[in-house]
Amino acid sequence: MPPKAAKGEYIETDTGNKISRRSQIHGTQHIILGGKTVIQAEAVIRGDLYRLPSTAASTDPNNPPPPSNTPSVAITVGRYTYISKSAILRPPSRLHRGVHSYYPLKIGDHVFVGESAVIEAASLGNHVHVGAGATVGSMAIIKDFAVVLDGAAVPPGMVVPSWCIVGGRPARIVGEVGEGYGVEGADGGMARERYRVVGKPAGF
Amino acid sequence: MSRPFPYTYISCPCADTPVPDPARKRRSRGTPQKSPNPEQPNVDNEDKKPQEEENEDEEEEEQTFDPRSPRSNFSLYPPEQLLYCEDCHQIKCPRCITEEIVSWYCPNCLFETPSSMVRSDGNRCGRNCFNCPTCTAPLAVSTIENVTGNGSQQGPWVLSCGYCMWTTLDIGIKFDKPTNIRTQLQKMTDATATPSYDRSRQASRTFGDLKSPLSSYASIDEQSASREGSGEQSATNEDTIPTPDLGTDARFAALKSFYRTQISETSTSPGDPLGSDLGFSSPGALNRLMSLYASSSRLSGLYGGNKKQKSKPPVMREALTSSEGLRIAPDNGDADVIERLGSQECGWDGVASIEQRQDQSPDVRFADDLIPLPCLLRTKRAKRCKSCKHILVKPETKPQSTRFRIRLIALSYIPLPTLRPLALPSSSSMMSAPIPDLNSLPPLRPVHVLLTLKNHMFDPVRITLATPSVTPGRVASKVTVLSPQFDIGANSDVWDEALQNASAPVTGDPKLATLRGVPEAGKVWDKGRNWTTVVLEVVPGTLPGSEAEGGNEVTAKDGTLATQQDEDVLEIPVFVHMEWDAEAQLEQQNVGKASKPDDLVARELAYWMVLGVGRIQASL
Amino acid sequence: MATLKPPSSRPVPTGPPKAPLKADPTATIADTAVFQGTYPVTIGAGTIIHPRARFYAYQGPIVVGDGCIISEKAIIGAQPARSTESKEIATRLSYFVTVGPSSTIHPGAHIHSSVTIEALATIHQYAEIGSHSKICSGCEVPENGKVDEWVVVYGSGLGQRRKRAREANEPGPAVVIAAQVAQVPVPGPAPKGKVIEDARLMVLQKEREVLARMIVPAGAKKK
Repeated sequence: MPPKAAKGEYIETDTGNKISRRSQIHGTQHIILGGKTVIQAEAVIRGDLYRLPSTAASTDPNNPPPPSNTPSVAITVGRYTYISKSAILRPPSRLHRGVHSYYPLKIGDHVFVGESAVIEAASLGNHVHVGAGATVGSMAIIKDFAVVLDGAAVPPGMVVPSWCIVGGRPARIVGEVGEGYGVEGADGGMARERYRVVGKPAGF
Repeated sequence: MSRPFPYTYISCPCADTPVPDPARKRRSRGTPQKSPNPEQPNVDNEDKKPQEEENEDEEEEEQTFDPRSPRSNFSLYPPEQLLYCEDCHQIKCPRCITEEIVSWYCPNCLFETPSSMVRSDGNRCGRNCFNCPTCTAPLAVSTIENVTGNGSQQGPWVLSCGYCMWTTLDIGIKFDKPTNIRTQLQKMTDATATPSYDRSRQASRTFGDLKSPLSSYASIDEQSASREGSGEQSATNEDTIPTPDLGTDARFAALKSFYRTQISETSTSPGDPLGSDLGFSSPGALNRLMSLYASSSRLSGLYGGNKKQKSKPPVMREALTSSEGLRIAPDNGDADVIERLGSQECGWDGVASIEQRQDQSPDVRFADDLIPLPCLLRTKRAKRCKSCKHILVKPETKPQSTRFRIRLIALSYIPLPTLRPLALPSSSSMMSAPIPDLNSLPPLRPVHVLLTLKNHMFDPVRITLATPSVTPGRVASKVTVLSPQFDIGANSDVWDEALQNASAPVTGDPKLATLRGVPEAGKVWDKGRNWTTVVLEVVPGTLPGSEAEGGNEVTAKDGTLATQQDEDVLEIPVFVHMEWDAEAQLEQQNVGKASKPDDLVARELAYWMVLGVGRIQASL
Repeated sequence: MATLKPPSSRPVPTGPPKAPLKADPTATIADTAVFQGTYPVTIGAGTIIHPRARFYAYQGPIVVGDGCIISEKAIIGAQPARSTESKEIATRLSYFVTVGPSSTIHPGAHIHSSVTIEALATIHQYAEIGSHSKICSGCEVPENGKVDEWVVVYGSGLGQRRKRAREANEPGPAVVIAAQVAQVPVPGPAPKGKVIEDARLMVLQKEREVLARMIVPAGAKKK
């Protein structure tokens, strides 16, 4: 699967992912992109923070387990999802039964992650919009069609229900989007259009 | 949420129809067809501008919609927020619908609360979902002991906030088990399970015994006896503890039961021993009035029934002891509070803010007194048309579901407008290849914007656009729609859409734009299966104060700052009139593809929309 | 579905001077962390430096104590652009400090032990953060600002502050009243607020252990 010969800033894979040459992706073998995903420059994606096999009990730090053959998935990104410049995707972690481990970060389809946003959520649903400069705390769950406003700080573990708009620090529910949110071409449904213009000459 | 440029808003026609009545509805459907058509050839004429002040309903179409008028705030909506009523054939905004709750759910655990439980749970989650009393973030149940979890997870539990690090240890509370936190917390903080509980039970018993007039004396004895008892009790309390107050809820319950008893007693036994010295201003006065005005047995029965003598209205006393709900301000008044406010360890941050106190007991003054609150429930709501009661939106009841049983959104009917600046290679000397910066449009330099209308109906529509040649308001920008009348093709199957996906329908291939040359009047710019793009030529006006262009404008003392807020925003009102042939039975729109012309009905719809093009620069 | 291939080799930055790095052998420093400047950068034992963290030691030395976690895209120090003053400005991070992603710590800041600085927070020049305090995401501490120990800075704008519980707190008045009214003894004193902090630090310790095994250290290539 060699990347297509692309001259501009973006490398386009055969599944249509457009990935900036200046993106900062770690642990690529633990990342699954759904296709037609856009990753802009300086976005950091931490695939290296994957979940170690369950045998890796921290009670036994002297004896690290052998690396398993099937790489566990750290980050899943859906179709037409857009990761803006300088955003950070980082799998959440927590201590469970004495073992500190990373949990997969699942991002749905048609998701927009704004510039410099920091995502440590457990999941972002489909058609989720995360504004610029927002932070989504560890293990937060953002359901489908939810909107996180610019600069919001979604606290760790928060659940944002579908169709809700959250904003502020800490984020709380401030409103709801309309029933037409996510319709193709309208607000929340711009993902294809966003994808299409990526890598096109400036001005279009 | 203000939106980035360019944006489009649609005005709901309800702003001009104050009362939704069926007659009006029919008329508003009929009238718009006349107005745009005769006007269409001279859209750009000035004679659309003069406003008739006595604009009654008939004149409304003659009026140019002013996006800056204060009323517009209430009618402009982003397209995806609008609904459409198939019975009224009209756009419906959040103001012209009614809502009905379909289900209640907790936004944190996403469990549905049955409607029967909503009230008893106080509209809050009955499980373990709490909000931080200091910062409102959700609280998590976590264990203190065995953090590493090596042992079996037990030991005291706390609620902790992952954001501001508040825990229930801040208010000295821990829980013995991680479930039923709400009950545990209630037991610890809610003072309703009180001595007054016995009393209220007793009170309700006397209330219940009222049916027999003979029982009244007995109840009085009982009541006075208990009063003595509780008086003693509270007296001892006062001796030992400085503030023997009940909690707020408990006090309310005590007062409620006290007055209920009072009402029942005064109505049966006028000779209340304590009544005479509290002779006026007691709730007995209400009773007296009620008996004056409504001598009917039914009403008086409601207020304590079988009154025998009307000669001397009975009087009620007020609560006297703390167990009855009386609270006396402490001797030292607010001195303690003031002292604590000024103390070193309290300070500004130690005082509870108004936001924090909003949902707390009214006695809470300090951040240390705040207790966690269960999450407020949210609702899923069905929406109905206000005028015809037709149901427009009905979501599935399950909280996690994002599906709808019925969802009549406006975008399925009216074309979706999208706006995009057009970069011409060299349409004029000023504009070279780059797109004009919409956040600072130079005044008096023409800008071309592409307006794409995408049809979601399965019938082709004919569109007529009309704009005032000069935008309303002090900043007069000139606007020309180069091809105001055009058709949009029908929407077809989703599969066609998927197959044609490469030629993204909304905007077409922009590379062709450079080949397409200069926009021409009377020609649509681009056209696809179910969308059409036309060009608007916009000449942004000058801001008052920036140049002499403003003419007779009052220049502010500080010159350039004469513009009011957002006056530099270039918004274009566009009147959209659409016509299409629909099936006579509008129930199933998707079969319209193969329908025969004889069972077609001509439909039309007209509305204003506002195109937010950009912000005009202050000076050239 | 496709697994991503590693991006092609990036151009190696040649220009800026590489800061002399004095790192404890037990520290884990990701290969993509950036150390620039003329002054030394000291990294304590057991400290984890995530990839893409940047240290700019142009105006003075940077000292990071033991057991810290510096997350990706965090910036400690400043680019030399505005350094007109010649005096040396040291930036100090004490023990067990957690610095979140994309946060910025300007030169001259002094972060005491066990402080948490969350994502996108900014600590301006000469600010001092007391131990066990927390700066929540997006919050700023102004120049020369001082945050006491055990204080949480949260909210937006200037932010609000609250003091964390450290000792065992008396039950709140609501609890006392409820107990009085119900005529049951007031519940015994809850554990000290400090146990929460102890637990947090223990979790951090575990996190560092895991990270030390996961992060590709500088100079080494996994796989």
